[in-house]
Amino acid sequence: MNAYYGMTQYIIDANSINVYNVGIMADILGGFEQAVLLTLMKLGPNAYGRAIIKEAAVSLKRDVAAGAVYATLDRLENKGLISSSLTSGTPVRDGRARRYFKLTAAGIRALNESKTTLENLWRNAAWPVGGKA
Amino acid sequence: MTLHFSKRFGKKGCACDDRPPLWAESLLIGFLPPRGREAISGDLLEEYREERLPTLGRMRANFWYFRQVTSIVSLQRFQGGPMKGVLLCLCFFSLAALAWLGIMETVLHHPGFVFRIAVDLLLATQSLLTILFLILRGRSGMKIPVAIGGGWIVAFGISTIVSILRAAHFEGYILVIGFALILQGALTVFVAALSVDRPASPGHIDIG
Repeated sequence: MNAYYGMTQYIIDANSINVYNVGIMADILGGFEQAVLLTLMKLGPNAYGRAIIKEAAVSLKRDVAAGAVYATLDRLENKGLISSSLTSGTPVRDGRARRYFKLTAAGIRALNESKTTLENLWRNAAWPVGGKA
Repeated sequence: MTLHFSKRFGKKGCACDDRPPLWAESLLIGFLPPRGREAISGDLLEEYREERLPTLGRMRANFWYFRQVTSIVSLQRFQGGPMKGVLLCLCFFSLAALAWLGIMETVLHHPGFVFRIAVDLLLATQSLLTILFLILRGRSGMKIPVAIGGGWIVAFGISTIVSILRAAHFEGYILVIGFALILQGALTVFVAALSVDRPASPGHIDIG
């Protein structure tokens, strides 16, 4: 059921137990964004582009396109959820710098909120989802 | 941040055996915005040398490298890479040149000037469409019309150059405009072909 209060749209679930603010839900992290943030958390101080791509591929159990990872990192940094810094390069990179990423406080908060919201959404749903498409 | 020559091509300034193809690396560096140029190209080079080349062999490693370049270029193209600037400059050059040609045709009234003005207007419309496409970052389902228009501009540019080379009076400015149109059209097709259709708001989740 949809409900409006002022300019804000809310969704109230069938049992009127949970109320979701659509404005906040629209900011939920995408699945791939969550995967990248969790990868950063796992890698800690070693989170730079190549390591993130490899670790994300292991976590997601599939090949990950480098372009998708870099675009996601850019987007997350623009949102203020991660920060980055350049370090000096190594000979194998012809001296090109590495960019290391780390979660910001806002990033950690966003990850926690995303998990809570998704858990709330699924709380009263039967799993696996059945019925006719 | 500019990549120094020694960083791009090795200390001796040559393409060495453990390097990805020079053209692919140049394509990557050319398309990346300055901020990510050094780190991203370095990441790919590191992976290529340490992992892909020893395990896959040169041909498959080069194919892997090209696939990565394609994925990066297609997603980062609109984030300030120099190609966007080049295409925008070409579009504005075309608009200025077409406006000048249109004014000259209107003033001089040579035979067939109405048809030529109509062609000028079509070319100008396509240039404006490309500018809009770049500003909207590939949204609004403009991909196919922009790509078709780009192909038409390439064909028109080639026919212009051929006709001016066969003409009795050689006019250098037409040759310059023809080459600019070919480059603009080719870049437009390339940009449209690599663009990914995006929703109006990437963060939006449709729950209605």
